[in-house]
Amino acid sequence: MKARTKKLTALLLTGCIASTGLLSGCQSNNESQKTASDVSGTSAASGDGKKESSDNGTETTELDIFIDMNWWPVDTFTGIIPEEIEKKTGVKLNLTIAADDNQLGLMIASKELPDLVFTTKDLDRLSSSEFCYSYNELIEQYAPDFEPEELLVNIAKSFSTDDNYYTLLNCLSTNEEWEQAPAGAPGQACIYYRKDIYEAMGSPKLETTEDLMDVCAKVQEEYPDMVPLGLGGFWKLQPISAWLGASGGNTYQMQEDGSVVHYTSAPEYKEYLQYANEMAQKGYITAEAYANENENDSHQQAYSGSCFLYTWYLSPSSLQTLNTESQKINPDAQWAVLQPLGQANYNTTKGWAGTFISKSCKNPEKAIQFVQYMFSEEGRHLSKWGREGIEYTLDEQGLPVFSDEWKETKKDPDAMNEKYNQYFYLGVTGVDELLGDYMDMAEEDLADCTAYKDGYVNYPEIAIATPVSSSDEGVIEAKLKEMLKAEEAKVIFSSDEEEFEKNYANLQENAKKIGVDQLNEYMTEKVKEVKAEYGL
Amino acid sequence: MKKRETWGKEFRKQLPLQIFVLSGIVYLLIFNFIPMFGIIMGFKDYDIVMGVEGIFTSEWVGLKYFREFVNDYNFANLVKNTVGISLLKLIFTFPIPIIFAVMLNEMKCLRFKKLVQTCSYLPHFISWVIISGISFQFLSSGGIINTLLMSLGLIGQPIGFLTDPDLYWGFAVLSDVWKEMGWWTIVFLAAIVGVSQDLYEAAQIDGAGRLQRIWHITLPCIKPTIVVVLILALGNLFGGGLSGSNFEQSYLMGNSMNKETSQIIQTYVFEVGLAQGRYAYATAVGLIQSAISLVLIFSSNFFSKKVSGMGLF
Repeated sequence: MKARTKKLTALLLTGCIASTGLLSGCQSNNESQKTASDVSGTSAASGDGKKESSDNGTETTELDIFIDMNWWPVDTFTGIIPEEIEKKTGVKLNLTIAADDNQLGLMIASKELPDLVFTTKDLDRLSSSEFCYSYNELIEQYAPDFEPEELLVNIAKSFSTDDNYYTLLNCLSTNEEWEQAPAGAPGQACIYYRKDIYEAMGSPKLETTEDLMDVCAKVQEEYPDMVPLGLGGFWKLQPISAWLGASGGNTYQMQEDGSVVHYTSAPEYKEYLQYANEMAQKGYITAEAYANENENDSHQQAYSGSCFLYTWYLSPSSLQTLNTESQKINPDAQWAVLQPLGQANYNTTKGWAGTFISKSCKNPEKAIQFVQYMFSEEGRHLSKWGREGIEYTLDEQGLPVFSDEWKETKKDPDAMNEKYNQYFYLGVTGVDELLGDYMDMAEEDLADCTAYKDGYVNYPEIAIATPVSSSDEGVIEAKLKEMLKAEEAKVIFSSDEEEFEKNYANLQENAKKIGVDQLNEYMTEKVKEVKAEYGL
Repeated sequence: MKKRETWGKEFRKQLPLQIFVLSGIVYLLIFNFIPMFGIIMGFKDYDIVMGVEGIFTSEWVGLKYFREFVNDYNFANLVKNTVGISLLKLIFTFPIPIIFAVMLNEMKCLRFKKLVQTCSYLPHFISWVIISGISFQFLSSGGIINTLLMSLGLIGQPIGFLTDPDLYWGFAVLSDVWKEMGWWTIVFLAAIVGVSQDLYEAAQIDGAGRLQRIWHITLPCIKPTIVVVLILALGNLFGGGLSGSNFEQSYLMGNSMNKETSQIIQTYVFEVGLAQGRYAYATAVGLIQSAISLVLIFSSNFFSKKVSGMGLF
């Protein structure tokens, strides 16, 4: 009897283990098989999304969103701005922040996409009916009054796998709009410096890249425990590259003869690498900082006072964060923006990030209506500036004037994120973002930042011409990127001139093997076509 | 007819045990055999936007992706790293647990033996993610080791343990030995425990010393276990041998500075296949590695039979 019970227990256990394993492995994603026509009957009323009653009595739909940026500073849809967005749209977002660069690729491969995906990458792969709903079909069914800007639609179609468009990119503004912006500069890499230390050293001349080298030497001599130049993860040496006339972090570079080449083919590239190599040989930058891709980890060197200069994204909130966090450790620490020391940067952007509505979205109707609101003037301003009449009012020129409470809170980035939370700017234009960031900035810092606008130019035609990832040229571009991760580091950290020349020649040889010439030829022709087609 | 009845009767009698076997077979079928259909992708111009049916309907391109990989500028380096790291791990991580198990077995103090055993196998339960974090704390330029060495005046500049490409292979092998040595020691200890004490007593009477007993009794008696473990390790050579840690180590501890020596075929497949979405190409590259592994397991089994008369199959 006892043996029989044992046998039965063993049987049951085995059965349970087997069935659990099989069921979890074979879990199908039925939602992802839905087509646009399948959902025509799915509405907010009949949708599967979790619903709860919001403050104003209307039902709230919860949508899961994947934010494909591992540096995203907030991880909840809370604060005055998100709550107001929720009231206006009836949508509450549940956030998942990317752990690394490869996570989205893995999600696409396994077709495990949440309701919404907000990303700057994989735009062409996601622009497919296999993974996402097309905006045009959803707009036709659920938001017929949503009329996105023609340029945004055309840009989205330029990387789509069919004739539909699957997203709209935010943060796009024309060169004329940037020019007319009253203050600040378009988003780009910059260098921050420790003003207190700079002044303690007697404010040495710092106007050119040669001066920068001299100042680094002085820092090394007077502050041996400090690394002269800290590198902010992804931003690495981008500002220096731009000042020396190289790509400044852009993949392609417009040449004087009108051709468009991959940045490794531009003549200024070698000059930049030589400068970087000199910095590395003299110990002004460290291999460890160069290897670190995670922005949040990189910031620690700046906060802890381990570096004098720090490369990062140009924005008042970055400056504020540096000061707030550093002063927690050293109350005398004072960061400021270093004005450009050479040529102005350029950009090749067709917008920044797009929101995709995946085929597994619980409620596509609510999702497209949410996107519609985020791209409306009200939604754009609310997401970046707060509530009109409370957080800001518009002056006679239509520019936001912020409340004292807003300005006071902004002095502490953490408090700002907690109280207001400006990080759901899914549909803003570049200038909306700029005004939200700069209109309440102190005069002195504002002048330093605005200096980055002089000579700045954007080439959207290059961005639109960029090959889709599945094309031959797209593969070449991806392979070059992969190759350069290691080879560029080798060149920059070469121990002497001979090794530098050898590593540089090797880098160029590898680029040729991968097909950089074919890519350059393609881009030059394609940009001409795009300019003619879009009238740019 | 009679034979069938006997078979059925026999099966019913063994039913609880057979269920264990069947579960394993079903698992293998679903998760290992059926997905093999995906191998066809390596020979086709497949794009994920084509969906599952695209695997069958996409254009046949033959060996295009295999040729692309072999002609890749990084091919030689990838193979060198994969084979180099794997062989080093085999050379060091395979014999060390055997030596450690023998040493532990010779210990007289049972308490100390248990303490050493527990401490040595605990790292097995720590994930590589945690270990990479710990490594950073210990080995970065401002980490404990560099700070200590500098404060003792042994080095003038911090050593780039995590960034120097020349140090990656050694670091990978050492960390693997530290993490997995204790775990595999248990397997060999279990085999040693099974050796008849009569043999040791007889040898002692014949005047055999401790080393002689180890050499002539312990090691020959655990030879079957050593051979099986060796064949398994060889079969998973490119995965990192006993621990199968190559991918995790390379992915978590590799960076742009040491990529020259840390990038292996598996991380390349991951980066190309998933990050760049080239599933067909990644399948072809993965298949090349699997084919080499298959050859290795068959040849190691063959040589094992020739040399020791024992094999896995």
